[in-house]
Amino acid sequence: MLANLSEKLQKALGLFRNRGRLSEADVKKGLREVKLALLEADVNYLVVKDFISRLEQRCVGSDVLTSLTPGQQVIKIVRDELTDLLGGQWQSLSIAERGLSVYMMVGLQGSGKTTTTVKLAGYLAGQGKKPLVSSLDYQRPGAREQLAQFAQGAGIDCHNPEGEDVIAGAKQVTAAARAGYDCLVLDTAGRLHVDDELMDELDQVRQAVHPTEAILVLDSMTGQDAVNVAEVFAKRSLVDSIILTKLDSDTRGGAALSVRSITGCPVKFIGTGEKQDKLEKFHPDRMASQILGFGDVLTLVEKAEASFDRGQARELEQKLRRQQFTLEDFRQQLRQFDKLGSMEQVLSMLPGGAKLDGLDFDQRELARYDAIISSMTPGERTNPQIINGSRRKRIAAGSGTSLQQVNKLLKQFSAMQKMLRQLDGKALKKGKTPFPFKI
Amino acid sequence: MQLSERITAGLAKTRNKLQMLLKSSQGGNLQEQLEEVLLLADVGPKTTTEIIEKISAAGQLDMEMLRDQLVATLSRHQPPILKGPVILVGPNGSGKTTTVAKLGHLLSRQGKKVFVIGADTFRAAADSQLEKWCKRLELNHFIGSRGADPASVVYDGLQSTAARQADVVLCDTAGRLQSNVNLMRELEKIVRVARKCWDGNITVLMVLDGGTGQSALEQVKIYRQFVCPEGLIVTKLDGTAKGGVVVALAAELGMPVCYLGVGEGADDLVPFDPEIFVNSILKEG
Ligand SMILES: Nc1nc2c(ncn2[C@@H]2O[C@H](COP(=O)(O)OP(=O)(O)OP(=O)(O)O)[C@@H](O)[C@H]2O)c(=O)[nH]1
Ligand SMILES: Nc1nc2c(ncn2[C@@H]2O[C@H](COP(=O)(O)OP(=O)(O)OP(=O)(O)O)[C@@H](O)[C@H]2O)c(=O)[nH]1
Ligand SMILES: [Mg+2]
Ligand SMILES: [Mg+2]
Repeated sequence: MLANLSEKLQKALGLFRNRGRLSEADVKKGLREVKLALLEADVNYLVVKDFISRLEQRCVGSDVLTSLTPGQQVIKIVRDELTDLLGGQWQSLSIAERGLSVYMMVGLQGSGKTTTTVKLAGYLAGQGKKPLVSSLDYQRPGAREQLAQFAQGAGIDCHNPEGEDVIAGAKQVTAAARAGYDCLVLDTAGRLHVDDELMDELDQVRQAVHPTEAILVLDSMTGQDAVNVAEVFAKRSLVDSIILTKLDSDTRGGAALSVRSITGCPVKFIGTGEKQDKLEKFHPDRMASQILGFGDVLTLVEKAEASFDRGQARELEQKLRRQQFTLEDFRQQLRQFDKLGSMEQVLSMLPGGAKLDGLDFDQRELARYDAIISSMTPGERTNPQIINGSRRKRIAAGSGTSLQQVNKLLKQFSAMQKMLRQLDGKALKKGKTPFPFKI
Repeated sequence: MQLSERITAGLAKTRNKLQMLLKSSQGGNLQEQLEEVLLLADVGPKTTTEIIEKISAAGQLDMEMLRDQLVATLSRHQPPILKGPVILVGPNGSGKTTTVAKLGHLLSRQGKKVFVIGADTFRAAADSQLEKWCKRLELNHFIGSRGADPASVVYDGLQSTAARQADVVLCDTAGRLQSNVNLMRELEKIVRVARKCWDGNITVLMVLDGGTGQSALEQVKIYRQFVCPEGLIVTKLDGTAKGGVVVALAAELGMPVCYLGVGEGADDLVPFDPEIFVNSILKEG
């Protein structure tokens, strides 16, 4: 996710890293690269311009350049500003103090409203709520059927109002929901922000149902136009929060950086796939870290917590702390790895991000690694240093791989150990129990 | 409404904070202003820089030169002529299903015999969405039901007498992101099966949402590796998105545009005209 931006920005910031001295010209040059990286990532041009000029002021104006570690300071400023742009910490979904919480999904055509309606209801159900979904889309052929079918597959109740009138339908279904549910997620037809008639209709729906939150559903692949859209919806009080979809497209997603700074509304969730469970909380601060290559260890720890056995995790945590992580543990973890997501996703969350040279995994290699480790003796697994040339040959032959592949694995394992040592147990200690994945 | 009017109407921009930002940022030199126009239209930094450099090198940097350069870039490659099976592919929600309907309508009004195959067997109610369109527009169709194997649906559809007798067979597929290798392989198979059925004489068109930014480049590159689309249909240009990324797609990948989608109605599909399109990009606001 955002891998591209991350890579480019890190390259740009590389110009600052470990620099003892920086001139004003150096800063300008570095910031120009930052600017290009942001533009290529579809961050809005005007937002970029504003952002860069703020950076420039802070970097050049103060005593940053004359400090002992100007490079580090510049990077810190970029990180702060980026976090600021993205919007700090995750903000949770508002819940009505009493009675029914109503969420109204709005947005352009095809942005993912119907799909996200059910996903959000699923999230609410996971929070112990009893959600109902309902479609007010009389426009797109098959829209209501789509919601009903998708909801049914996800085990979410769906009640589509009778008749053909959007406002009457909205009232009808809100009344119906009060009877047996505590939240209602309303799907609406896609519409252009410049279509005044249809935008007025949304205003009327809003006034009829008094949503706890109106949620703008926005395609994350959107380019410069994202801010135009977000702003018009926001002006009409139709955006309390934002959900960005299709982040599994895994390229740019600069819209995430633009919309919040233009509208001031938080991005609360992101969609990362077509299926029901592909909705994640959006943590701006973690995202900023991830983009800049500081890693997103917290998300990784949470994911790992969700997918691993606790006892096993604790054991592994102990080993990690004592730095006794062996190839045997590595093999165990490889076997559990699927649950965490692709290797690439996991790597992108680690400090150093996409740039871990020598650690460029390929999912298909997992099986090969398993075979290689399985061909080692227990002694070799705990003590890889003893694996000399002839042992390597034997292992390669035993696992049906090549000497190079065995070497590569050993090299990666040692890189991994080194990285673990650098993680200095901070994430481990912070109450977040384990750090139980294999790397 | 003519396309130019439609686009112009769609481009009637809202007065907002952005406009203020824009105003305050103007006053830079001409080069910066032209860059700004292109960047805000999603042409992207790389192609923008190249185009500006090219016209600067030719000596004269102004709006007219820019216009000519853009039109030339977009006219370089001819879009394919539609005949036999035409498979519409693209990312989720870009407008494939609606475009199948609109294109079917357009071609049958031109007197062509059109047949529609629905091979999105994945998304909820994809079948009924397309079926409703086909019934409304009186298009002959064969639509696979949810859960069926999409390649088999295409095969069965293409084997039918109705398909054999049609001038154009339009085929809808499920949306998929280029990052999902399994789904891209599935698409590759669908296209391969169709090729076999028709002695290789098929056309793949990619449907892109006009609001898409620079991700379109990566998308088209990867789609090309799997199914070789020969042209683009760019949708939703009735909003404020300018679709400028097609300039980058033409410049970098030689990808031509065939049609533009300018609304949700059956008639809202128009053949691509580089000049009108460029005018809409360069228009203020
Ligand atoms: N890959 C991926 N696809 C998504 C995601 N969210 C939605 N989609 C897909 O995007 C397409 C459009 O989604 P819909 O939910 O129908 O969008 P919509 O906003 O309701 O569309 P309209 O009602 O026509 O305006 C479908 O193919 C969805 O499966 C996501 O996070 N990732
Ligand atoms: N304003 C506007 N809306 C469009 C245009 N083309 C399609 N749409 C709308 O965009 C939404 C998505 O269109 P679909 O045809 O369902 O998109 P799709 O690519 O088939 O979607 P998936 O099959 O889910 O991937 C629908 O609400 C369409 O009515 C267009 O040119 N302009
Ligand atoms: Mg919908
Ligand atoms: Mg479709």
